Amino acid sequence: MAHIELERVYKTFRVTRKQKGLAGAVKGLFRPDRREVHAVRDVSFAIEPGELVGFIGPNGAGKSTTIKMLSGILYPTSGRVSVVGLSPQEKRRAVVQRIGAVFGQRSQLNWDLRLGESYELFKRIYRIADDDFERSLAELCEVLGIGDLLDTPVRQMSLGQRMRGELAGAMLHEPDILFLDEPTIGMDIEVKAAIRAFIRDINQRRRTTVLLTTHDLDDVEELCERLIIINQGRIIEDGPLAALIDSITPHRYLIVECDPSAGEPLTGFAHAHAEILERRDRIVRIRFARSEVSASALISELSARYPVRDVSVQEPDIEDVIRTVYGRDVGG
Amino acid sequence: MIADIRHHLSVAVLYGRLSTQRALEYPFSLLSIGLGLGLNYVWIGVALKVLVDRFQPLSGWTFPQLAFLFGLSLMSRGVMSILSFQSRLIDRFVTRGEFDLMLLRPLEVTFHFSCHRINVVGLVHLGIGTGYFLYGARLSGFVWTPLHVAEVLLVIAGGTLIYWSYLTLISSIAFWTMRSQPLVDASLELMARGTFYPLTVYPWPLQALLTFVLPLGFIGFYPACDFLGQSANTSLPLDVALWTPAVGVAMLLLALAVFAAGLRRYESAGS
Repeated sequence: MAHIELERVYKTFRVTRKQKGLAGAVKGLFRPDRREVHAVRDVSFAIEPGELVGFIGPNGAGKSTTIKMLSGILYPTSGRVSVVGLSPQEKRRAVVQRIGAVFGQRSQLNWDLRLGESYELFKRIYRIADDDFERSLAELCEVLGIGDLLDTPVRQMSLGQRMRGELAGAMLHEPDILFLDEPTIGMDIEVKAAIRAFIRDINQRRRTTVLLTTHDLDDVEELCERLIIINQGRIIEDGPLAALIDSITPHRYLIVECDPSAGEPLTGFAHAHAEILERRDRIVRIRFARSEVSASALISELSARYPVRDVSVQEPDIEDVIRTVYGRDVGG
Repeated sequence: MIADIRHHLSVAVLYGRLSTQRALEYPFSLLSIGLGLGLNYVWIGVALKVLVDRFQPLSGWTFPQLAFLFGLSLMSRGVMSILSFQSRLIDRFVTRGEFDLMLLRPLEVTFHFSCHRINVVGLVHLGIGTGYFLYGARLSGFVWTPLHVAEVLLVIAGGTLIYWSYLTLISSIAFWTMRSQPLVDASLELMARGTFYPLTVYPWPLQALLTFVLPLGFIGFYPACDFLGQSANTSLPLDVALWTPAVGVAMLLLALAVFAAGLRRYESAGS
């Protein structure tokens, strides 16, 4: 049974469009310009237990609306939403007992209290047994390095410390599913690395299903095997990250450094599935079709014919890939 | 079911402890609000006493009787304020999307919303209300029998429900309109006017309004009439100590239904 399932889900908001100036405001009182905004349109996907899925899209694409429907905060306008086999709207309490959520821009911790006191509250709310609480807290403190912060008031903590505190709070009751909405936003490199290590750890060790929303593509690249891309309320890509990259950019690049004793580098190079893009001193950049020829075959071929000193393979930039996907969707 | 209720109550008790700790983080703020409120209520009492002593009893009510009524109403208001100050703040929760976190917890949202912040300042209402009530009871011939004590407690519980339900109903309008604070502020004023003084000082349409439409008269006025043998223009069958909790429960059911309907319309806020 899939842990998360959405079937033909729509979410429509009725919004009143504000009109310009005082006259517009007065007119709006009597004849409000009400419109329907389709935040999510015909969204379907399923996520199996233990998957770690990146859920990305530009601002306003429908990511947060989808997560809020999955966590029982919003009702879908139509369609079916199922989490751990239950409807989050009809069985909200049973569903939220089994999920954890971190919204990067909204704290779940009590600002004026010690971090440990917020955890004490979560322990009571989620009915965590004493032994389980002690064990879970000890583990989370170790992995996230927050043991020294338990007696610190949340308001005195740095952004990075607070986010680690949020993650521990969301995992204390050992949920089956974790929704993470921008968990690395505004973090420095070190904290990002710690958070990514934590996400990887809970996914691999506890088999927690993770749905990760982020604008940081390094998060996606380092953590997610599968990517779901949403734009303008519709799912536009859903599949393994590698397959997506292949479909968008079927080419890879070979950076070849030739021996300076030879003349013009790679003179007379010709290949059915590769071409030289540029030559700079002794460095040559070659583009090749990955599906037609492997990097190792091409390197062997080059080494046999030319005095090659060094070779490296350049993968496509994931940001370029995602930008292409967004642009293609808007264009289409 | 019983386990679920116990669980909710234990969460409320913990929230109470944490809210008190939080309030004590800012002692000056706590002290200034408490002092302000205390002075306000003492001022109302002094003004009433001067009015009654210098001129005449207010619609047949002496100062001790007025103190009894004022105290009885203030005690319900105090309990409501301690347990659910935030029932007046629904519009803030709606516009800022603050119900998200409540909906993410495996608790009944209405209960969680009501108990997640225990308002220590409410003790000022309760303390001063108790003072006025005891003073009024001593001087106006209230008889302290076990039955009367039980009835007073029932009236305070019912009055608390009426206060809470009324504020929740008004404040819940925000689920439809996004804003309800101005209406809530006006309602708080009406609640003070409608519960601190005998209804008989008002013209009959207002008395009818505060009895049948916004039944604030059941918080203090009708029970006080019953306890002190004062006459009300509206005569009620059965003991008024039963009427107040009954009206409270009826209003509670209505408020819960409206709150639940509103929550279904809740649209969170953009991230």
